[in-house]
Amino acid sequence: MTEREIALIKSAQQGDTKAFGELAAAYDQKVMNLALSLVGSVDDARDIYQEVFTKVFKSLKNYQFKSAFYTWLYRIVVNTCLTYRKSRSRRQEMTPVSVEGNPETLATIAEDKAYESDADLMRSEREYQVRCAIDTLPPRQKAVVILRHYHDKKIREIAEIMELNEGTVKGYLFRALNTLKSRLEPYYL
Amino acid sequence: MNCEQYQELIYLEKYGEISERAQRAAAKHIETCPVCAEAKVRIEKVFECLESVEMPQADPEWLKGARNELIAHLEATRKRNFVISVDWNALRRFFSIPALRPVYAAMVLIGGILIGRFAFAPQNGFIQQMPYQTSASPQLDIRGFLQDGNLHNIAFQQLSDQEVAVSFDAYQKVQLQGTPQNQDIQEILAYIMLTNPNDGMRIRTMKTLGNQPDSLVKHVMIYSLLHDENPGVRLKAIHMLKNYPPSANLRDALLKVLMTDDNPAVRIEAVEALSKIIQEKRVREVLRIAAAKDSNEYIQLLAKNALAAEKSTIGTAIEDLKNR
Repeated sequence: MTEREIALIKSAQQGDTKAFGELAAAYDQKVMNLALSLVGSVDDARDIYQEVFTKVFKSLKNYQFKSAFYTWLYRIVVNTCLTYRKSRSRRQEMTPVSVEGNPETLATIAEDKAYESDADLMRSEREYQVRCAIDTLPPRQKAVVILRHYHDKKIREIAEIMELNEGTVKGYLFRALNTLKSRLEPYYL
Repeated sequence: MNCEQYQELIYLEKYGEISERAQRAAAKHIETCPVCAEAKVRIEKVFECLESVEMPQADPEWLKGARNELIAHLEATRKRNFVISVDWNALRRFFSIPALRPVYAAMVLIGGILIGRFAFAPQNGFIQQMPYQTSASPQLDIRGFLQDGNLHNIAFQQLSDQEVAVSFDAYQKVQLQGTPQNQDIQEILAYIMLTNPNDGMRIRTMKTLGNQPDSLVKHVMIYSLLHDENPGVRLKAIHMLKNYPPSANLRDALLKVLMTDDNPAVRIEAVEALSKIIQEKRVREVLRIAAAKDSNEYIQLLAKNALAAEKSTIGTAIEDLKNR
């Protein structure tokens, strides 16, 4: 954490919204990317973006610099996404499913791309299958895989973000990778 | 270590989160174990698959707009909540000083007493707490109040055997204190007996008035006996009226009660009262009707007994006259 960052956090803790704006600008790309990866829907990720930063602003005064700011922020993002998924799945259980109006997922976000060659098409098909396989993982395993593979977080950092011990994170990772291995095996392995 | 544990080491090796020693041990095992060698190939392919995928990225333009919107929203919320949050924090700090806790407790207690005193004090008040205006006061026209009939919150209290306090609201708050013989007090108590919707209060008033020789009290009791809807009140009225000397209006009232009152207890009292004036012809006629037709067998028996006692008295008197 840089001195500038510490100063911004301290100002934001006093209710300075400009300082908070600067702080948000430094992290919101990562927050949004993580939310997009975890919930798989642009609309949901946008809702989560607003929810996360509102929560962060309200609870920033409780932040005591005991962990890195990004760890604290990522924890809020992951928890918000996990809660959001739960509430969304409850809402979906209560709402009749429309075939035409399926919600976006990781697997469908990149579908609209135009393909220049067969190789592109093949690559795109593989991406689609991998995204589908990641989408079907249990939420916590999915969060661990995404943080490790797409946000370059170490196992120790993931444990800190998700408030788990390292052994549990490793367990989630192994189970997730074994699941992915068995799901992708018929196509690519 | 078994193969499963070595395969976990392969994963960790791919993540670069393994010690050199563990890395050497895993490599040595894989050289000799075809299962783990095969597993390593597959794990590498899984990693390749995962690396081939790019996660969706946020649109920077959207982020810029969303950030501005967020800050505007937070600024508006902060301004709206500013006063409340500052006040609550100040209050919390103020009330968390341990040394002042007895003071807070006393403040709460006094506050509660004041709220109770002003918000929940009975409208009637307590008679002794109010300035007295007795019947002797020349400006007080009790009869005028009663004629207007605009009296509210009437209350009375038996202060002793001889003394009664009465209060009510008319165009002013009025309190009276005196004996039941006092004419103003009698008139207000009579008003209560005739108009108050509370059965208990009407009975209590009747008891307080007792056996005042005043004809007003007697008339009110007769009225209650004939018209009060509550049998308890009618019964109390007949009890009190039994102590008055016989009179034509009382007799007529008792006869009417015996013929028409639907409550047997009241009719029984009427029979007993009438048996004292059985020498009157009209009374005997009505008692004969009751002895024959009253729906209650006990009342029939009482009426028969009263008539039989009257007959034996007359028979004895005739014998006395013959003997002379």
